[in-house]
Amino acid sequence: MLSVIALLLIQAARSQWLDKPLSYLSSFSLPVYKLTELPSEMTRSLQTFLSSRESLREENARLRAEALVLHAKTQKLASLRAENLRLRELLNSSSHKEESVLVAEVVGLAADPSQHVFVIDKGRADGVREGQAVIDAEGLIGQVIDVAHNHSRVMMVTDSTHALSIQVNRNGVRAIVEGTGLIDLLEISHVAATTDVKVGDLLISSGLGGRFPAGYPVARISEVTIDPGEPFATVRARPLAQLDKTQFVLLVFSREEGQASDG
Amino acid sequence: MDDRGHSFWVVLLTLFLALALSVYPLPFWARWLRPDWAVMVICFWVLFLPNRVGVGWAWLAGLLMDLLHGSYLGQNAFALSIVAYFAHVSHQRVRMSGYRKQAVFIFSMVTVHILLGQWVQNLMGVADISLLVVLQALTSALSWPLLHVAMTYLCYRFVVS
Repeated sequence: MLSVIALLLIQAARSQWLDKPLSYLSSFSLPVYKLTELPSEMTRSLQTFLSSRESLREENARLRAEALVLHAKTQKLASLRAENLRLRELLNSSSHKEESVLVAEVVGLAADPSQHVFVIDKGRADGVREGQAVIDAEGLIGQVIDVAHNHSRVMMVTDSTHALSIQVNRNGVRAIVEGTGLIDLLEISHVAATTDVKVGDLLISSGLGGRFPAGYPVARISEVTIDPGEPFATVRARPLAQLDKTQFVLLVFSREEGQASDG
Repeated sequence: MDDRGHSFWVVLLTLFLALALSVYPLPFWARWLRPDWAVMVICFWVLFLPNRVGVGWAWLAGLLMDLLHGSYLGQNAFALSIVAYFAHVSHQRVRMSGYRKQAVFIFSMVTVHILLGQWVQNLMGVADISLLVVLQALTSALSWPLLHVAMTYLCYRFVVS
């Protein structure tokens, strides 16, 4: 009897009318995820507490140097952006959308081990919407697949049901990169054996499909195997984002859509 | 009446702990080894407290699990209530047997849970089955004695009956 109700629920969940109440109902899961974070958080704070003054000073110096380098790079960026805009105006082409980001914390991993999905602590209340791109400092992580009131789920590019359109940064060749279900491996499908791709090529999101903004680094090609008997080359790549290590991720907002806290 | 209240809270607390453990962050490779705590705790209560805990509890726990995991609403409610039904039907036999036979029982129950979950996912059009899920059933069976000891201690400590 109860299992029949459950099956009916599955059917009901398929239609959309339950989405709204469910997103509020599932709000209780954020505190649960936070609770499971506690032990690792405690060890982390204990580590910082115990770390010596010397190592802190060292880290401070290193971060200062890094900040200096990054500042120098952004200085250049401003002038480059202006130049880019001018050139685009000269070419009469539309300018890129302005993008801003929102920092979110990773609070949990999906329970199902066959899924590469994690949970972040920002939801509909923060303006997150389905299909939004998620990045870290190194590259593209994935996209938001499920938004609840106060948290949402992010599918990584390595999930075996994920695919996105990319471009080789060196020459602009376009292809589709698919997840494999392994955390450090992506596969690029249907690359003709004569296509110009090399080991070490940087792959960036192409922006085709309208889901991911163009130009974010995704992966670096790690292996190209050309078998004369096969019509396509086997091309493998390694994702650039620290998929299994990140604690904080960035949600990308394009300017027209919704709010954003910091740019 | 008093100890009835006790057992209610103990069952609730252990189920909540099982749910929390089911989303406890593990490194990527270790996720395949995570024991299915929810199935084990529900089986324990249904086997040893069959007049208090039954399919209804399993159904509710499954529903909470669905909300927590973000799986299809009803997926775990369905699978866990079937598991609880199996456990209830065979509780008189399984309760009497030793750890080894109980572990085999847990192994099959976890397998039932996982297979039913994947069946639902297939119905919804997500097909990604890996044989590695057997590992989960295996670690569950191996950690059953541990859970059994801990839960029995809880029962004595809080006079659950």
